[in-house]
Amino acid sequence: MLTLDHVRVARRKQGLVVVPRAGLDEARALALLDDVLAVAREHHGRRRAELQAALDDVVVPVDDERGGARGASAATRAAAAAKKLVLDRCDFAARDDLDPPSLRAAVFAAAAEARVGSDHGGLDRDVVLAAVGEAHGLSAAALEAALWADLDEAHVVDVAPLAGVTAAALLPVWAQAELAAVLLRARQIVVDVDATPAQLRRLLGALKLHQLLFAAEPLALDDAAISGVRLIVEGPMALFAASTRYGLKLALLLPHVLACRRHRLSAAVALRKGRAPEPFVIAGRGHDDAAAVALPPLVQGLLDELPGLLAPELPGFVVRAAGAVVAVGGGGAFVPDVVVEHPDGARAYVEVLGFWSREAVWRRVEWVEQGVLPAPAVFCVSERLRVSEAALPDDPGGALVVFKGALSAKKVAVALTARLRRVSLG
Amino acid sequence: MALRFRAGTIEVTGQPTAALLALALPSCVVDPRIPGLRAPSLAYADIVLALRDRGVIVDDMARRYDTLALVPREAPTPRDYQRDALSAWTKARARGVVVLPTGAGKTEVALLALASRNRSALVVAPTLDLVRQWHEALGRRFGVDVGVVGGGEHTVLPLTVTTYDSAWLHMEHLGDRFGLVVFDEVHHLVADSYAMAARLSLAPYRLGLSATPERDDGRDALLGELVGPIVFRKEIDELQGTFLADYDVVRIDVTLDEDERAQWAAARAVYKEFLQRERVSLGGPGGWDRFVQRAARSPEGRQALAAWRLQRRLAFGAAQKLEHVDAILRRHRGARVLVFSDDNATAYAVARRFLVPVITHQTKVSERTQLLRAFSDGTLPVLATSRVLNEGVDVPDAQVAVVLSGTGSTREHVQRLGRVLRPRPGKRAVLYELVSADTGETYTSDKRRDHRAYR
Repeated sequence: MLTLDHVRVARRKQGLVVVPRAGLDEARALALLDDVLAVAREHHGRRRAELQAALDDVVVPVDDERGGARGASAATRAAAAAKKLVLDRCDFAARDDLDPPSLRAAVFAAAAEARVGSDHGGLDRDVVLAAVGEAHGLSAAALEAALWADLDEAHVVDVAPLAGVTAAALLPVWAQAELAAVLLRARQIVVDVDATPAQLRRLLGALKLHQLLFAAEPLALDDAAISGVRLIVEGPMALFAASTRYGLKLALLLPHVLACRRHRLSAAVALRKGRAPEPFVIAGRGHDDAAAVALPPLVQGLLDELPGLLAPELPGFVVRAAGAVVAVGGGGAFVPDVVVEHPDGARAYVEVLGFWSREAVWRRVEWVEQGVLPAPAVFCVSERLRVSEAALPDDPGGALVVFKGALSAKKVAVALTARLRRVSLG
Repeated sequence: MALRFRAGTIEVTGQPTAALLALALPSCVVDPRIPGLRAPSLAYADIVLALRDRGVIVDDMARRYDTLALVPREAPTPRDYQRDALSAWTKARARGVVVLPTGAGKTEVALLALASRNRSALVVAPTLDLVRQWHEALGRRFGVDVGVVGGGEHTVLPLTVTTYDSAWLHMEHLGDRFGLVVFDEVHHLVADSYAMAARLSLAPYRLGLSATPERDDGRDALLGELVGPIVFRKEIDELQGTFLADYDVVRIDVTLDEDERAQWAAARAVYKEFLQRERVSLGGPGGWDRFVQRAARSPEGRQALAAWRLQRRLAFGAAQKLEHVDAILRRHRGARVLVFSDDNATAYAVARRFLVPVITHQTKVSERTQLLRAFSDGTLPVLATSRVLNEGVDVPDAQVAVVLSGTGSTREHVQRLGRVLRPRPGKRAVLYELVSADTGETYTSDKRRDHRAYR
């Protein structure tokens, strides 16, 4: 991961912008990455300190056009970033044919004994090293070299992870790492996305994983093909003190945001401590997620069976795969799997929680009890979560369907019918 | 009404927001996302007390800590001042800082506090060495398994030990699990990130321990909010000769050799010239930060910074200092000697030259444990280190400390002296300070000796 030390950020009228590769043009950036990759590969099997020293000697590409102090500084940043990107992809490990702690223990013990036994309290280190070396089948010089072979700087470089990595392949990685580096100093982000359900779930999953708080607002009407949502994301302590504590977590959301079909991320970034936050915007297009096209078998099963099961009791209702975030009153959101709706607007949702956390289930039970859901919802929960259907006995706003292995579409249909009838009648 | 712990904050819900606001609960603000009120977990005890005062019945789902039945297995009779410290802390609603010199038994005060509160407790310490020591001390005293969070471990038990770094990382998940938090070497807590760890914990009971709570940056004022006020204090000279060993402090001025002096003067000229040109005064407030900022802007600046580092390295690592170390090791043959330096490179240089063990941040816990044990039993009586043994590490009966180099921090210097002050009949400890004469190190030395322990 890069930090702000590796990135050049400029101020424009619209806010902060990242100067790509700290100002280095693409051709020179490719050449720099090629140099750094070559140096790393040359040092396979050698000491980390040697690799570091060799990387320090890689010529820093001074920006001739800009010239002056700023140019030199920017080029230094670019070089440091390129080195970091490559070093992050190397492995380092202590040599496994040596046991430095044991060698040290033997040397220190022998030296302590020699000092106590000496008339003047002094030490002939050559004699000690020779004696201990001989006992371990090593010369004094070899022993001395092996003595500290487990320190970080003596670790052996392994460039196996660099196999197949090219300078060109690192350029987009560099670009994303620069954006993430700026987000490390973010206090709050606002994310507008148009995404597939799978992309949205991954984004919401990441928010939950990192315990970030968010408020969700729909950006477009629920639609089978397209969906849009605005997420205002911050850490819980942000209410009390402006802090970049959550910057790392916000930065870790970036890949999930960039993966969305269309995205716009607006952040409030305090580049330095004590400085007022400034706007920083990332906008672009991700991709349609091929993996998201195939629905999970449990959901596909509901889509196949529910129309037939619901038709006698709920004529006119259509069952389809859901494709949008549903904002919950007072904050929070969920992504249902199935929507059952009538042309007159009555609708209900089904969400299959499977093996999610119990906490996620209780959160949904609270939504139902508080009446903050925009429409009734049936939450299908694996029995492994040890939740009882009795938690929501006969609530018009929602129900729990607990399943073991296979999910009974019939039970889901019964729960939906009971709630949608009331909506239709009401 | 309900209280919940969420990610290091307290959520107050269950009634309309207006009704919640009318209760005027401390530190609470409206959070429309819940909807309800939210407060930093630090305010938990005050919120509960306020609700109790107002006669409000609350479903407290926030606290997840247990009431324990800790029974001390081997309890030495507390010294009078340790009993007084516990009493003062208890009177202050079990929130506050106890200040005792190194070696005066701060750990014992904490163990007494743990037994008196009998709540799930978290001990936060600055280093893995201290985590290891607390782990042993708690297990030995109470005969229970003790959890560790940090250094690659993550076992959370009713008694758990962690580092400040791990506390910062994990408190938003663990902040509801402990009713008492002990902050060892509590002066670390006021750093921005570590302070957040204190705010993310709901522990009603908090104990801070330190020999030297005051900081040059004045941030120790934050301790009152995060832990509580200083409730008890004793200084080295109040316990010297009774509960702490008598001691001497010997400063030895060394001279740079000709080559070192020439390099030192050249490097000094380079950075001085830069400072003059940029009109930066290193002695003034914010001077160092300005130097670093300006230095980053040009090749000349970076050369100046490199020159500053070189002249410092030369002063700190003067060859003659190692000759003095040799003489001290001969003079105190058999005595337990700690050799402190400011940087790892010097610590390893001492280790290489004298074939003595060294402990730095790179030393694995298992090897540290072995080395400290060997130091303690006298098998390996000399130990080199940089800063990791500055504070807290329980090294019984070290008699000699050699300060090869260090910062201008009074706290660091007092802590290093404290390493050799554990009492023993007839013991007289000595701290040698090796200072390169006619260099900036003389000023640094004068600055760090500005404490009553050195008068």
